[in-house]
Amino acid sequence: MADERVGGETMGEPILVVDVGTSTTRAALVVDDQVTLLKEPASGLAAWPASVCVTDEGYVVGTAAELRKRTLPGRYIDGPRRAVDAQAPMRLEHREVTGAEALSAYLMVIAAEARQLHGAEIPRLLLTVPAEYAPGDPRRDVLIGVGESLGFRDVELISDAVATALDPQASEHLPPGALVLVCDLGATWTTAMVQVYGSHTAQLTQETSAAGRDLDAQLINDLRTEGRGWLEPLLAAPGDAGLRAYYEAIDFMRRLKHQLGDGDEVSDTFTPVTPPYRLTRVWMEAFAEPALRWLAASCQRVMSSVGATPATVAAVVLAGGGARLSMTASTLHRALGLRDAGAHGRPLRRIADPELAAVRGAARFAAGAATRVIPAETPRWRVRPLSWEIPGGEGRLLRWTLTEGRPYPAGAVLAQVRTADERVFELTAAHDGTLLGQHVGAGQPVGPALIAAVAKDPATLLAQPPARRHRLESDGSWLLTADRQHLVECDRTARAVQFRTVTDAALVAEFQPDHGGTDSRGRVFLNTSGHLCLIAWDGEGFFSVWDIESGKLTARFRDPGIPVKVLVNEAHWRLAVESRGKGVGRFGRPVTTFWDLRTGAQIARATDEQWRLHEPGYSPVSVGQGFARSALSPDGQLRAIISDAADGTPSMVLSEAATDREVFRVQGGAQQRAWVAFSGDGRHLLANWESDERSLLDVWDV
Amino acid sequence: MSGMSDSRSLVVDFGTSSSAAAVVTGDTMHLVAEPITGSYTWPSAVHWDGQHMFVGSVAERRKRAEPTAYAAEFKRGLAADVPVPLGDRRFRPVEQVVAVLATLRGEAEHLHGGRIERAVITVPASYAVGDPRRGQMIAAGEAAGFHTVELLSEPVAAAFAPVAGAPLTPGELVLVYDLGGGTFDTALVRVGEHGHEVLGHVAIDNCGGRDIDALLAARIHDEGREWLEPLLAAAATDPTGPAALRMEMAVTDFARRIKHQLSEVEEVEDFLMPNTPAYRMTRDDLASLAAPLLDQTVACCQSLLDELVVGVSEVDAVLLVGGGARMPAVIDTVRRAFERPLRHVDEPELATVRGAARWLGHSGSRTVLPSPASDGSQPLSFAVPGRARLLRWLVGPGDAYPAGATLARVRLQTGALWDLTAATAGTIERLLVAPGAEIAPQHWLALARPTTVDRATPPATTDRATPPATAQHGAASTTAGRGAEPATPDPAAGPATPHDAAGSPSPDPGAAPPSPDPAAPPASPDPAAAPASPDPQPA
Repeated sequence: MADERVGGETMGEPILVVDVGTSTTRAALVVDDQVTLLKEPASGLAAWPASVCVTDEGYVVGTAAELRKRTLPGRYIDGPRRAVDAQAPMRLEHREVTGAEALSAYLMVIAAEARQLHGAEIPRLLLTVPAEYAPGDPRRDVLIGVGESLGFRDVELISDAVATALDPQASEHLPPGALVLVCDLGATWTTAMVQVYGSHTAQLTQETSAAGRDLDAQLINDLRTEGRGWLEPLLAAPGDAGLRAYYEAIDFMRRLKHQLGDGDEVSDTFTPVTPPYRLTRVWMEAFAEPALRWLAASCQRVMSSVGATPATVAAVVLAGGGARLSMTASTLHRALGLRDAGAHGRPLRRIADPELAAVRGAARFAAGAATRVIPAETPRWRVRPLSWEIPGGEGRLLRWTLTEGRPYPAGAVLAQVRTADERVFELTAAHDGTLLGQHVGAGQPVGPALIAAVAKDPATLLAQPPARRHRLESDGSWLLTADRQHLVECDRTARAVQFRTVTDAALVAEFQPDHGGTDSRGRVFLNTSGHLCLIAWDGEGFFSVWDIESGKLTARFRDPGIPVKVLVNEAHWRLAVESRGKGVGRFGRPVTTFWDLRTGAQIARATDEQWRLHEPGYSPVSVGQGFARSALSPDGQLRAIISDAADGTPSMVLSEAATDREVFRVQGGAQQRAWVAFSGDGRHLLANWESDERSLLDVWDV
Repeated sequence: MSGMSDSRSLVVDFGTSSSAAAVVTGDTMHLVAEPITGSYTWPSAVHWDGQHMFVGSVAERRKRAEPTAYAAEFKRGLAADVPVPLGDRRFRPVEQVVAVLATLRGEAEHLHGGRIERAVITVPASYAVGDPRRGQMIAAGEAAGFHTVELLSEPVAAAFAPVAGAPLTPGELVLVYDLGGGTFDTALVRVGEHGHEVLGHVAIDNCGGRDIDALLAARIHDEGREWLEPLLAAAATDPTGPAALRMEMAVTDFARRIKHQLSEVEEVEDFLMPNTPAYRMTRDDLASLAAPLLDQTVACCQSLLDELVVGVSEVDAVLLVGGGARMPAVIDTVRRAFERPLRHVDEPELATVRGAARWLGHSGSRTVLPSPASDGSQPLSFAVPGRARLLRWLVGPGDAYPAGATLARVRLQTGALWDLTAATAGTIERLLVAPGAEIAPQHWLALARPTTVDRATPPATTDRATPPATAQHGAASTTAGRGAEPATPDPAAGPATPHDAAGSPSPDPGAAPPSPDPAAPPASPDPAAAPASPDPQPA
């Protein structure tokens, strides 16, 4: 992507990505979409040993630290982030080292290598953090502080579970919103549920255990038992020698564990002069049993905590060094009833180089940095800012003297502010207006200015009509749901009832009734329980009533005539059909039949055309539909009304409720019937223009 | 002038031992006299009779009958805020302050007619910003029925007091020496043409006239042991009531009476009771008794001058205010210590209240008019998903930016960084939120002036598949006149409003759909569908 200079910033900036592990660290340099794994100069490997050693000359890290640990075991730190994790400093032989200090020293070397590779400054750092660092965890601030102290202007964090789930090998080809169960089996074992959504990928829940470390401890214990004769004297040696032997025993054990892999047995000697130590798969499984038991149970817990089941989880990802142990995969298979591991589309995804999953995923996240933008919201139509400079530059809001939504005259005091020197100032209005938003509460600090949201004056509003968000068209009819956030469209033939959001007309649900009629008609009404019901009928006089929410057909009946006019009384949940007879020669006055919509039973018949005088409440459209001839906005500030001209042409007029001054007007077409409504959040004004052929729905931002 | 000229204010000097108040209307000031004594100084004393709280001289007069229901010097108790017993109840010191302020307000409204909504209460300079006693005084003022309460530092008020003799000359450097009943305050003030500038001030709590009274009372106890002890012993065994307490009060009052007399004469001979022997004291005796305390005040002044790096010789005059200014020992001490001209005020006890009233007239208007509305200034807000903190601004006031420009960077709760971009071109007028602040959707972060859009300019974000500035669902049909509508970004996509580029190169993290329900992609009604009947149009 081309560099684009905006707001004094270069987009497509290089980003250093670092996944600091407990035993190894991986880093990558991301420039635009190019990802380069950073190799440690000392070893030439992408795996940087996660260790530091404090020599008299200063810190050495990585392989250099590993080499020095033999000579300076008392100054060696295994895992530079360990003290941050523990939130306590580490006591070395000669001094105390804080987690931030050790990590800074460690990352400084990686940063220097990255800068050298890139040949320029790298302003941005992305660090993985353990899944257990919840938002708000102070350890996150420590990591950010470390990054900033190394000269990175922007330090970003990503949960290592999220990073792992974003590894292309883990989540490629998964549908957006897919649930991924991440099992990251490093020195600590973590299970986490992650919802994959590109940049919005979120960690829903996690569990962390020291199971991995406990397994190592079991193995060390076994080594000590088996090698009682030769290892104990080495460990018991005074001074550095004992500590040196201890670190070497750990390395020896880890090496054996990795060598075992899929095999049945592995054997090695601790030193050339000690007898061989043998580790078999059977023993390994026995040692790992508590850890595997935790893994199986934890997977179940994290899934159920978000209401997921193995069936609804799109992928299970096994990452970290522990993924190389065959028994972890088989445990997951058994515990979760998974199908066989393998190619895409299968639930259990085993990853090549599982230790690299987090850094690959984090690098992918970094490559998408330029897409993580939030555009400014559309300013609200009626609102303009009113600002006061606070004398002395700062103060505290003492009180608002009027509530939101209230009009005020010119010269009125709107608020009082107490400045630092305890003077109390009155913030006044220069012109008449209406206070729409206060933004700051009493007692809160203000300065250098206090801004309030006030209404633009009606003349300005008339000159600048609101933006129309969209216009929808239907050959049927429109309703609003009870929350007034969704539109309900019923097409003329009652083939489909569609639910769309008011805000962006996005289709969120659809109901397609199963009726055979070809010339059917229908509308949606509200029954006495407030449920939306579709009433459909055909030329044969067959009527069907569906509860849309449940999709159930609740009543079906047949009117003997041919329906001419269908009216519904929503309060009594009854239907009146004005029909003409079918038989040849039977002509005359139309007959009206009344039906109970609950049962489908016929109630009465009327031949009297005056029946509507005795039976009010029957209407061809829903009266509880949300649209009306006039509407007041939820905050009570705006009133929309439909007024008809002498020729019957409707106009929609929007006025300030308090002053009755017109702020917006739309003229309808001839022969149209019109209704208005406000969305539940008060942000949108809706007008429904209905003619015989079609029904238009306009939505404006107000 | 101005200040609060449009309304009436009550200025209150609430002191440790005595208080004073004045009603200020515009340029005029009227001191509030005590109804019983006619004096402008009100004892800061209360008496609870089980039903009513009496304040001032009434309380003083009742104290002999019911000494346990009487309290004074409760200003000193504000810091500890421990309730004290008064008769059958316990009262917090702040409640006693409320009683005094309410009484002063009642009397002021009675004398001058009509409600008084605003108050200026003077407080010792030792009540630094953040001191809870400031909040207590404001709360006490509000509880006493004032709608608006301002505070003013006592030495600052005193510096504004009218000086006896020739007026202070603009440019003069004046050291205010304010020895009150309970505290000592000092301030260095530069006299101005219209108002004074306070260069600095310091205070010592528990260093005032009452402390001298206590020293004198101790001395009376010591010297009059022979006749006083039998009286105290007898009082202690008196079954009728708190005679011992009454006796102690009498000794303290006696000490104060002697001190006051020594302001006028060289030597005093007085009697605690008609049947007790004469007690004698000279001005020199009192001076040596008070010397350690007065030395503290001098050291306090010196520390202020040192702090401000002002030599004593640069001080043009020392202004003596507060009740202590009447003591010859004080005048001598200050004259000797600084060797600078001394200036006095009439009735030094009233200097603070008079000065506060004058300050009110000089402290500027309290009315703030809105900033001139710049035409078409618009607020900028962003639908950040969840909680977020502003990391930094990438633009500043006066900066012009194109549509799509990055304006700021924020950190979400997850630790991820997101950029806030402009939907349309504009110029930043002012930033409303500082880095580090928590932000939320619809929260105004800045004010900007939109640039008139040149329709011929291609969008700035040519390499983005979905330029956020132009994302618009269900665009309006081709109604005449709608073409001038500004492009509307989509604020409705909830937490997912930030758009990921759809076709970003591999590796592709940008597959996030903007809808929270992946199964329901936003449906766009066909904008090309031409209406068959006349369309509604804005009139």
